[in-house]
Amino acid sequence: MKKILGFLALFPLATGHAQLSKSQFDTLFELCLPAESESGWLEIGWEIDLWKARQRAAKEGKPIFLWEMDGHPLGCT
Amino acid sequence: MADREFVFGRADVQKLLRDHFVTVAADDWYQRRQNDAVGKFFRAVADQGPRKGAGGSTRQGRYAFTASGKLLGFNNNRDPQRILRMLRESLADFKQLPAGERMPGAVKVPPLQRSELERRFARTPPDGGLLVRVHSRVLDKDKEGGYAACGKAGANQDSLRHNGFGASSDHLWIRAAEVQSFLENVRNRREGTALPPAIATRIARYHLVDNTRGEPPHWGRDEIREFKLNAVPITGRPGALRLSGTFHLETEKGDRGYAGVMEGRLQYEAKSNKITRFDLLAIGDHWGEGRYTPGARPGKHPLGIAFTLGDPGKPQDRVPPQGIRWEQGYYEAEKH
Repeated sequence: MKKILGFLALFPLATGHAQLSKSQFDTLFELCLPAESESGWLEIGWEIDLWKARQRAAKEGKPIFLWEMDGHPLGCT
Repeated sequence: MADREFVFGRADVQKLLRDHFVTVAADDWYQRRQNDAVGKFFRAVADQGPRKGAGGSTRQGRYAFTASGKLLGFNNNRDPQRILRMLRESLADFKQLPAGERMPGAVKVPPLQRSELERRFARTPPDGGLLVRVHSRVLDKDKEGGYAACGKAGANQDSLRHNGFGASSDHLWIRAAEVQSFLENVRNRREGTALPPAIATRIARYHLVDNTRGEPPHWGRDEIREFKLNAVPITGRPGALRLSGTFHLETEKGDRGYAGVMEGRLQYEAKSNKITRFDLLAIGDHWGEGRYTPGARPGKHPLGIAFTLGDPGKPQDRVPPQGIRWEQGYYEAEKH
């Protein structure tokens, strides 16, 4: 588990607003991004245009798999 | 979110989809409303299954179908074994179809111009603008006073319910004219430049949100108690800016809020006025939940949000922001 040691001493939330050092920023920024282990679902190769998917499926002779959600499945859902 | 973790994160599902299907992901909010060729095609497929969108309701789920629009399978369950079964059965059914339904080139799909799409529901990335990925993650404070990620993905394999500990995804769009205007201001003011109100308010209202458990409520203009984000040139590094600021968002009743600080790095090429780096971090305490985001931890807890440039060549980085369903309201967040 990633962690940032001693961070709060320099960073009182909502009040005080101490600056982040470069290393603190880099570490916390990285922590908030998706880890590689969380990103396997993107390796499938999703289209985001249904019509383009239709055209590809027709050309390649494959069926279409559609992941349809309220909120984009590759975005905020 | 749970599908990513429990279904599409699995190697066997990924291989089956990559090898045998053309995969596409879409937002049902648009497609169930679009009165154009795309919307009509989608609904014609979906209405062959159990979800027919009665009363305008959702048709969300996972569908397998042919290029001609024949439904092969439907599933709205995140049990990976049920999804795998549906995929295999759909593939077997596909292979039984007449050659004219399945052979490469047999089905003709006409071209479709963007101008043929219903304008109200067509979202196009801003030409020459910035496509920014936005990822939120709930955090814990550890014994040493630092931060750590909460738990691990996959912790709820038995219930197949995600715990909201993973990184969420959304996208921030900034128009080219907004970027140019901002950089002009930066050049003319060495002491620091505030972000233009439209961008600042857009970030505050639509992107400083807890979307780690689903579609979040966005902030109203009157819920921005404070938002300051300034860009200051970094001495000795041409085109480099340091971003820093503070924010406090809170409902009138105080039952939901987010307050903290922002820090970031921006780099631009002076000749082309092109931004090549936009890394911004918001970190603060968040509290409360929304209608579609139940299960927040009681009380105030740290939430981090990272912004970084997307790759326009990747479909997943061209997905519209969640907050852009009303396009004018998104781009003119300071007015509406």
